[in-house]
Amino acid sequence: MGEYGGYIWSSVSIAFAVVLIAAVQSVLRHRAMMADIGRRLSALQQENDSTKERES
Amino acid sequence: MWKFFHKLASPPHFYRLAPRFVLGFGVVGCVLIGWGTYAGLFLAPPDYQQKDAFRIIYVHVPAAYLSMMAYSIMAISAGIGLIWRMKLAHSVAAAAAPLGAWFTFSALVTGAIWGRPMWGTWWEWGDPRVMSELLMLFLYIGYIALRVAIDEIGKADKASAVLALVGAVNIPIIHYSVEWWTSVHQGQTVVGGKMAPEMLQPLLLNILGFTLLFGAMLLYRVRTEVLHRERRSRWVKAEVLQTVGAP
Repeated sequence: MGEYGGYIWSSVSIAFAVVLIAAVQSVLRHRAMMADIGRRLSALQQENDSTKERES
Repeated sequence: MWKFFHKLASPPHFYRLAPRFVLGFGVVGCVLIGWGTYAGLFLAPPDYQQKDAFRIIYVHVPAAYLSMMAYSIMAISAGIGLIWRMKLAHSVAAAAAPLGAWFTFSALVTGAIWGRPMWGTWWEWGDPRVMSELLMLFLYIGYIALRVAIDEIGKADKASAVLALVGAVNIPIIHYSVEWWTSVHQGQTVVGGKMAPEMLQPLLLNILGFTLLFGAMLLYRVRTEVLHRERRSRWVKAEVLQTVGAP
């Protein structure tokens, strides 16, 4: 690739890095959402359990 | 056919159906990109004018094409959501925006790197193609910021849909800017048969590969968006319990 090798490899690396970042961001966001909903459900379950205990 | 689309618009049905396509699109996309990039960088002959510098086309053109495609998907989905009040359409629009912004950023950066050896400058403020592409990045950022700024999802959907539809006027401007105005950016190369087949084939492989990868990421992000919107519904609770386990 001669004199243009630096330009070519930097643009290829940046393009691939951007795709990788976008993909990782998508996966992490989904996992964070799942974990957040899981935490809320868990808190709700604990609240229900303690209410039942108090009532009994 | 209509029955299929009607069923697809149902959030739980989409949520369960999407993973089948995500993996397929992702794997085939990566294979095509690997093949196309290898052929473009090592097998395609150098250009008679630009020499080896033209090889940046194999990442720049797919990124630029996807930046416009993502905006088109965003604007059409936002329009559908606004007119027919389809929940899934707003999810698609919201999911397409960050991906579009990433690809626009990639197109601008790889374009600047290509511009340095060809135009003698990293950035040309007076060029209509460069400026309209930069405007699109700002439109994406504005769309994302608007959605984040409004707490109520319904209001955020409407306001951001209007912005997406107004900004859609920029798509034909980007596409035809090299024909309408004097530009240092080269004219349309892919459309019009100006490229030799041995140079064109790797480019088409990369365009298809990046599009499939974009499709996989879009479906993944739409699932997250659906999860967020339907987080209080019974089916989401069941899905989460099934995935992360019982509390």
